[in-house]
Amino acid sequence: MSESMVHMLGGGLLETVLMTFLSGLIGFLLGLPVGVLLFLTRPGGIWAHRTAYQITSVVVNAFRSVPFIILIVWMIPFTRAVVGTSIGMFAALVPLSVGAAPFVARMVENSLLEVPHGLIEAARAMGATPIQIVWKVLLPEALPSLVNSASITLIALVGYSAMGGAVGAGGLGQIGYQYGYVGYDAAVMNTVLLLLVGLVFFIQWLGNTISRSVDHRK
Amino acid sequence: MITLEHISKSFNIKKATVQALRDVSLRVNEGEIFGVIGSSGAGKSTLIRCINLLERPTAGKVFVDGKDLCSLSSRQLTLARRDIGMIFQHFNLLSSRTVYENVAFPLELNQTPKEGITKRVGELLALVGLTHKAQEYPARLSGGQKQRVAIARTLANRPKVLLCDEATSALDPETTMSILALLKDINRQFGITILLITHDMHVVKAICNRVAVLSEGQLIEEGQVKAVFDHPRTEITKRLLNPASIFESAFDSEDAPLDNEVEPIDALSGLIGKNATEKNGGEHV
Repeated sequence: MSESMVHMLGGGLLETVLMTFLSGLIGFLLGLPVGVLLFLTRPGGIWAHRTAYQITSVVVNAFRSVPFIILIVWMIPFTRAVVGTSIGMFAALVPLSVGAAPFVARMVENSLLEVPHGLIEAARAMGATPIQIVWKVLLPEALPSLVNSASITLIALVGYSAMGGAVGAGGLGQIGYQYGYVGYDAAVMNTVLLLLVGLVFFIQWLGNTISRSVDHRK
Repeated sequence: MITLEHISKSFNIKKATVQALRDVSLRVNEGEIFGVIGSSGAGKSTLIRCINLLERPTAGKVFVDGKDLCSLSSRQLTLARRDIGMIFQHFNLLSSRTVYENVAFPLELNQTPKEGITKRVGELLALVGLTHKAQEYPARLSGGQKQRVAIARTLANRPKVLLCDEATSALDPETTMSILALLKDINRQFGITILLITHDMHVVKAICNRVAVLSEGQLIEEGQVKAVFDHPRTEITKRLLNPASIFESAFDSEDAPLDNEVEPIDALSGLIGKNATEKNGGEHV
């Protein structure tokens, strides 16, 4: 493999890592409040509110049911309006974040459901306001599970970002597409594959390590 | 200190209505330790949860320290709850916080300054004898130690009333006695009014001044512990005081033919089955 190839692959890896983590971050910032809202408004919740829950739930489900490749194409006008272009890494961040957010929202809702009900009740009995219950009880108690959700989300995003590569998102996905589908170079193709596998293993390891270090339940 | 006036509470579970409390009136005087005893499913948990409105009664009024809790706005109720302590059967400590941070929790809720928190948490951990465990996480503590932390936590804001929801039911007899001694001590030292619910008559005997018996959502007896326990007026109270009697009546039944071994066991399993369903009912409530 020539030096320029190595250079290209390195650049591709960096782009994929950036896309994954940046869109993961934005996806979490968008999805976390929605997940908390789902948890609070669900039937029997602290702020049980049927209409709010159902509307949020329908929106989340609608976005989750759109296949990612379709979401990218469908969002092109919006992406152009926000970033100014629909091609490249920064353009890809828009659909990636929007695609991750509803996924994150459901993950967060599920993580919060794992928090023992007795803790919420004890906090209410001590005179905690709903906001204090969210910040001081729910999120800290769900943290190990939230970290696991984050690693699952990031791994899904590695896959999404590679899909984006087919429509000009850059990163390892685009390299794999060009050298594996448009033309064929086994060495480049296999290296792309190994780099993606390595990246996923790294994210999983990082997630497990952090989750374990914040888990004081046993 | 605590007054319940004609409290009723019903739940709608899958279209069926379950009446957990029926017209319960109760008065707990300042500084006393009052016990409510009853078997599983009698409505004890619902009763104690109605006092700080974790459950809102369907009908009736709740007064704590002269305040009509049902009439408060949700913000006022949140503030009022800070004067009502509560401890639980399963302790409900925050697993993500150390012992120190758990006790600091209620102080953080009303924005106590940091120095104030350090001082108060220190006092409380000394009171419950856990100063050396301040930096441990609850998962590393025994049941008795966890309940001590929960007691320290609930005392942090100097409540006037302490509600104990089966607080010793998950503990062994020896630990139970040490927790009860601590509660009695707190009652004497700070004059905190304690209302506890339990299914265990030993708990009532050990620390209560007065007791009420709850059965199927109704108060059926009430009075000084000695008076009620020495001269129970109802069958249900007698049975609570001597749980073994149900076995005796099952085995000693005159009609049971002695040569047939199946009969008494049937009678017994009937009773056990009944208790089991009551228990399930209790979980829902």
